[in-house]
Amino acid sequence: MAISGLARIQTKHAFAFFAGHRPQASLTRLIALIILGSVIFLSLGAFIFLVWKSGTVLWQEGLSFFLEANWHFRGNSYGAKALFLGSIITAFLALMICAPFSLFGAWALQNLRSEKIRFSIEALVTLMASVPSVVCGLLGILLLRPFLLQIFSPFGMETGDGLLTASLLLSIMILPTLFSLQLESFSKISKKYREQAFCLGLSRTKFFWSVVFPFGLPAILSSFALGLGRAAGETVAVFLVIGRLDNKLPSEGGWIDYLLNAGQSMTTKLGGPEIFISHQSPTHESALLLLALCLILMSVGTSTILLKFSKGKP
Amino acid sequence: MFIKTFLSLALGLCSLVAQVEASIKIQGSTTVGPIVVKAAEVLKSNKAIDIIVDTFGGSAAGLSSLASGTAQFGMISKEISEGDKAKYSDTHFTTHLIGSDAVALVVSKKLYDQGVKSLSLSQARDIYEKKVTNWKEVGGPDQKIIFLNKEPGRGTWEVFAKAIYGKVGKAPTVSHLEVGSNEEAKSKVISTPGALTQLSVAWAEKDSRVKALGLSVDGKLIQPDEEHIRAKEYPMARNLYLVSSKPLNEDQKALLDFLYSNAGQNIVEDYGYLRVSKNTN
Repeated sequence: MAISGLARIQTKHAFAFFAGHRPQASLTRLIALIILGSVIFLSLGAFIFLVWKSGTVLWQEGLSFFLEANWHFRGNSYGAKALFLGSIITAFLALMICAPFSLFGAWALQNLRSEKIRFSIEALVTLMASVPSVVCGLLGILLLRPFLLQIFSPFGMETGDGLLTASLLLSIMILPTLFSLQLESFSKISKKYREQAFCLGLSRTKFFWSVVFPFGLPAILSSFALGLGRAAGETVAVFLVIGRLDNKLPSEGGWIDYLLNAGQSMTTKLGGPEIFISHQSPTHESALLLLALCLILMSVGTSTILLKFSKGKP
Repeated sequence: MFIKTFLSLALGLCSLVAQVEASIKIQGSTTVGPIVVKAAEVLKSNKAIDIIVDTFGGSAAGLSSLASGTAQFGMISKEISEGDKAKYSDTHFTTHLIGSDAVALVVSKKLYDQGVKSLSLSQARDIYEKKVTNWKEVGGPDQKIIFLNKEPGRGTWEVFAKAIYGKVGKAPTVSHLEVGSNEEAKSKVISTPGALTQLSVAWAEKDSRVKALGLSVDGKLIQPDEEHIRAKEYPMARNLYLVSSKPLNEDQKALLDFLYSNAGQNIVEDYGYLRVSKNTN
C-alpha cells in the first residue's frame, strides 16, 4: 500500500539522516532525536502504565472481568462483558449499515457525467467529515431519537436511546471516511479499464462486479478498517444516544430488545464520570484502565488485521 | 529568523501561563453551576477577574479536582461525607454555603396530568429497585416506568440515595439508564414517555413541561416548595456549597464576597434557589 511504502522511504531517510556526519545539522538532529525519544518514551510509558495498573482488577476478578456482566462499582464487582459486547455490536452494525450506502454511492457518483454535480456532492460528503462529533450527537438527540422511537415503539423500543440509535448515528459519521477512500480507488480503476471493458461489451453491473470490486477490494477493506476504528473509538456522540444502561445483555430479553433499547459501550463507560469517583479506590481505577487498554488493543487489532488482509490482494 | 520565532513562542507561552495563573478554575455540580457562571460574568466586567466554570462530572469531580489542585473551588450540591473526607485525607475542605435547594422526583407534565402527583418514600424505593415497574401500581396510567438515574458522582444522586436509604452506601446495586447534567435529565424526561428522574427543584420549576412530585413521608404529603425546603421537612432538601482547600487570594475572596452580597444572593434567587437566609444583608 501507498502508506506503508511512504513509511518505508521515510524510515530509510531517517536512518541516513542519523548516520550522516554533517556538523551543520547537529542541532536539528539533536532536536529530532529528543522528539523521537520522547514519543517512544511517552507511548511505551503510557502502555506500560496501563498494563501495570490493570493488574489489580485482574487479580481480583480474573477472567470474569471479560466473561461476566456485573459492573457495580459500589458493590466492588467489575464484569465488563456487556461493555465489550456493546462496543463490538455498535461498531459492526454501523459498518454494516454504512458499507452498502458508501459502496454504491461512490460507484454511482463515479458514473455521473456532470463534473459539476460530482464535484459538489464529493465536497459535501467531505464536509460531513468535519462536523464535530458532539454536534452529531446533539442532532442524534433532536432528530434521530424521536424519529426512531416513533417507528420502533411497536417493537418494544422504550426511550429512543439505544444501540440501534447509536449504530445509525455512527454509520452516518463514518460515511465520509468510507466514501472518500472508495471513490478515490474507483476513480483510479475506471480510468484504466473502463473503456476496454465497454469495448468488450461488458454491462455496467458486470463491469462493477468483475473489475471494479475485485481491484478496489484492498481500498474497500482498508476503508472498512478505518471506519471500524472510528466507530469503535467514537465517544461523545454515542454517549448522548446510547442510554448508558449498565450490564445489559441480549440474553435478558432477546436480541431485538437488546438492539432497540439502552446499553453501554466501552467508550461511553470511560467517557462517563466514573474516573472522578475511582480516586483512591485502586480496583475501580484499575478496572477503568484495563478497559482503556482493551479498547486500544481492540482498535489496533482490527485495523492491523484488516489492513494486512487488504494488502494481500492484487 | 529562528531566534525571532523562538522568542515570540516563548513570549506567547509566558502570557498563556500568566493568564492561567490569574484566572480562577471552578469545577463541580451543574446545580451550582449557573449561579457561579452568572457571578463570573459580573466579576469579569466589574473587576476583570477571569473565572472558568466546568460542570463535567458533577460534585465528585469538584472534590477530586480540588484535591488534585486543578481547580481552586469545587461546586458541591450535597454534604461532604465521611467517605469523601477519608478518600481525600490529605486535603482540608472549607465549605462556603451560598444557597439551598432540593432534589425532586420529576415527571413530564403529561404524566402528572394523568394522575401521578406524588410518591411515598417506599414507593420511590420500590421503583428504584425495579419492584414496581408500571405507573398503574402507584396511581398512574398503564405505562412502563422508565427510571432515568443521575449518573454516579452527581450530588443529586447522593441526596436522593441518602433520603431513600438513609446512607449512600446502603443503596442497592441496580443498573438504570443514566443521565448526566440537569439539562440532559430535564430534556430526556420531556421526550421519553413514562420517564421519572431526580432533578433540582429550581430546574423543574423553571420549565412548565416537567412537574416535581410531592413526597409523602409517614403518610404526610410534603410538596417541594420554599416553606418545606427551608424547614428541612422535605426529605431531599440540600445545601449548595463552594468548597476551597487552600487559603484564599484576593480574587477568590472577591468572588465569595460577591456571592454573599445582596446582588449575589439575588442571582441565587433568580435561578430558583433559596437565599442563604432571609436576613443576609
